[in-house]
Amino acid sequence: MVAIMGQSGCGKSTLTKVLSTEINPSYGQITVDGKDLYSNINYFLEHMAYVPQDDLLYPNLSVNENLWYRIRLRMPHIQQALLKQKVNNILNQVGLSHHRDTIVGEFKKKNLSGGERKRLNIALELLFEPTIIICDEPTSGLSFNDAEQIIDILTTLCQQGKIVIITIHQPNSSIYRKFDRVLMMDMGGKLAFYGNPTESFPYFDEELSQLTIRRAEIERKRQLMTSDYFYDIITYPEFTSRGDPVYEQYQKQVQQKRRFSPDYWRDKFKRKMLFELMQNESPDTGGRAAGFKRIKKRLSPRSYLVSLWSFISRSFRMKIRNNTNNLITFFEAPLLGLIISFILRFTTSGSYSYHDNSNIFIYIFVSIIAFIFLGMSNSIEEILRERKIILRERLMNLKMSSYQLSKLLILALFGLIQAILYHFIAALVLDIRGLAFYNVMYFFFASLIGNSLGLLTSAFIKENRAIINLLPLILIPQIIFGGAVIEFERMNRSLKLYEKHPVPEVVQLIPSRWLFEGLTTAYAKNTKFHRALARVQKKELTYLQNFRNATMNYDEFQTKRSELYHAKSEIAEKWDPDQIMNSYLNSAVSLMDGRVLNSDRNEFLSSYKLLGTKRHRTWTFNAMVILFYVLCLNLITWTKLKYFFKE
Amino acid sequence: MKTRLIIAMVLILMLFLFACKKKAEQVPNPEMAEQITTFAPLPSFKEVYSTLEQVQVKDISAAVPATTYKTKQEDVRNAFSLGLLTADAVLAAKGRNKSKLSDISSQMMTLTSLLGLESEVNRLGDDMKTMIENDDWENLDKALDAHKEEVELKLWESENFDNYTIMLMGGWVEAANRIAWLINQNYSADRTKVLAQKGTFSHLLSNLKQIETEYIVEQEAFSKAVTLTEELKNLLDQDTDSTYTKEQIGEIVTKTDAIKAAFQE
Repeated sequence: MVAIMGQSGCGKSTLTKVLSTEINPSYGQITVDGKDLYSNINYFLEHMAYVPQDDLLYPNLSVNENLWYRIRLRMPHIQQALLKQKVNNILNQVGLSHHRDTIVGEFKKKNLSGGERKRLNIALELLFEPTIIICDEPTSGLSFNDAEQIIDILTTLCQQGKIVIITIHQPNSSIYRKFDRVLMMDMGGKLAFYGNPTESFPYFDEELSQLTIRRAEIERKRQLMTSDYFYDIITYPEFTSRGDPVYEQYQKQVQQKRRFSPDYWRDKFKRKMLFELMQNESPDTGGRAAGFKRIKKRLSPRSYLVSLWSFISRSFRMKIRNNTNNLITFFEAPLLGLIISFILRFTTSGSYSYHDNSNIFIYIFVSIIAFIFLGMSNSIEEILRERKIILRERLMNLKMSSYQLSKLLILALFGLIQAILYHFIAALVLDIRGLAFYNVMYFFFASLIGNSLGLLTSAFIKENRAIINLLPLILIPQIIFGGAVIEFERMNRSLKLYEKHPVPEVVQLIPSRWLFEGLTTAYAKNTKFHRALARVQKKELTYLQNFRNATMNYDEFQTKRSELYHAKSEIAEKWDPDQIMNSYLNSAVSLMDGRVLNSDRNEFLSSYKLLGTKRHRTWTFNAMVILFYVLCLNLITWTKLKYFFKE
Repeated sequence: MKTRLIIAMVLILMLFLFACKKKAEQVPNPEMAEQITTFAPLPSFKEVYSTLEQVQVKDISAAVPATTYKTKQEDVRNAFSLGLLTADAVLAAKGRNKSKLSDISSQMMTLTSLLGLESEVNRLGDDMKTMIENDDWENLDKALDAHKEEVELKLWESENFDNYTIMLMGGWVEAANRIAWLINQNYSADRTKVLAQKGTFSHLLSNLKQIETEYIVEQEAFSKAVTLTEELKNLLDQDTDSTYTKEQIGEIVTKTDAIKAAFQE
């Protein structure tokens, strides 16, 4: 067991992160058994564990679930029974069996004590039986007993033949004695001492003899063998002949000048160790390491599915146990639906009629923006919150695509519930009928776009504060370029690359524009009335064709036509167009349809989209565009997570 | 070689025969041809509007009904309404009444789904909007006429003679109603000559009586409208040198109003 000691800011944690490959060193070399660590990273990572200073726990999962998902995700090919046995063993080993079903909770909630949390963090790493365990400040902030317990667990691991490297600030004498080696660091990452703990005290005797002020106090610490002794000597200040401390300027700050600088300690240690190192070890670099290289294991389709399912199950449990999330899902969306629809329920005549409500345009647009916002607020913290865990899981070669997909699927599920609830309430208030499917679909898509934008943002930002600054930057273009607030014809002409295009090219990149257009045209031209009528009209064409081909005689044709009249009449009775269609939307979309037919080019808010020689219905076409955007946004997020996600 | 040539010729002949048979199948059977020809194509109601050339724009604008004509959405009623609103649109265009034209255009567009005439009417709507914005009244008049013909042609070509007839009835009834109303405001026997459209109403009535579709003939509104059209035709037949008295003009207004109301019940 090696303890890395040093003052705050001297680089202890950085060293452990470099050793655990969490961050790449800009220069220098790390070797394990003479083999370069980074050249054989896949091999060594299978044998290395890293317990960072911060918790890597999912607060909404139980102790058992935290362990279970970690092992299941990494070993999807192993039988469940074996994995369960393994989890139970580890729980016993770290003394957390009694907390098996306790929800971990946030740190402040105190479901688990600080020591128990730390033990759980260690247990997460022990699941994979590592040979080298690196712990960053495992005893930091813990009580004496908790710290002792942690060190005992780590000592037991050493006795089992594992190498444990820990960073520790000020161990008490009892803990200090348990270390096999201590490595003392001074500011700037300079090495002050490395060796046996018992050798460490005499090593500083030479400097102790040079001290004048507080010497007796420091000598007492030496006798008690406390770790404070080293810090007192290493950082001992320079005094004037009158006994006043000497100050110096260091990095624009005035501080006490030290008697022994970091360079002094480094040089002293070098002098001591150089000869021994040259005698005993000749580090082997790169060359022979090639034999260690391991090809990344490819998951079988079954294992991939097990892993994906475990990700989904973990995401779902975390979401469903989050009360804030449940409140937002089940109350915020319908409440918004109620407020928005209630405000926009208006007709100029006395009694309300959806057909004559001139606010339906605004309702559609506001709803789309609301769902983009809801989707974003549901997802924008997802990756940021789990940033450290993702970094760890990525080192374990867990599939980032599965992680991301699980997040998106669970967010989408909640988005779908929100869309259904929102539509149900708003349709009731505004008397919208025959549009449930497209309404829910488009609100769901808006939410999906919000989710994708949120995950993307979450992958790029590192601080919570950035969310507040970024939200307007993402949402305001959705409002301005959505097509409802400012007409495209009235926008700055410089936005257009090609003067004759009805919509500035940059607007095509804005999802709200496609969502608004798709849903508006569906409201105008794809109600249940239109769909039922289209089926009848299709039959009418077939009969006409048959009549023209003389496969149907005139009487039969007349009878069929009469049947079609009846069918149309029934449709109009059931889905009265004067109630199911909004006159304002219908007129606007019809006009744009006419323009498309007259000019043979695409127009905003037309229910036709021309693609080459083919004509598509806008609600279907735009839905495809949105799905394409969702795909693109998630591809960017995936690339970031897989290749560029760093501390 | 000779045998091969004979086989080739036989094959070509067979192909010819087959092709001719295919073409023959596309030709309507005699029964169908007979049915088609019995429906008479009707002239445009623009004839009646020729009298408007002597009327001031503001007076024409006043002749446009204050309330846009609306009925329950149903195939027959929509066909009648579309014809009627087209007549109103022509009148509003001549009266240069922008707001009324927009209202009429919007109402026309709500009727087209049931009739399967969305493309035609939407194109007209777009043209109307552009021309109204540009105060291009001359072309608007022409566009309305062209689109009216286009709609009529589509109904005719799709063998939908029922809706074709009912739509024209709507147009003619509204044209007669509005012109009669306008003449009534400032009566002059000479100006009533435009209403002497005996041939047109005779053909219209004949077409209406040929409608056999059970769904249509069973409708009370339709049979009432046919009866009233017959009465209107009889009234128009009682002209004196193609002119009508003030009372007759008043009666034309009443009769045409009644036809319009029949479809609104």
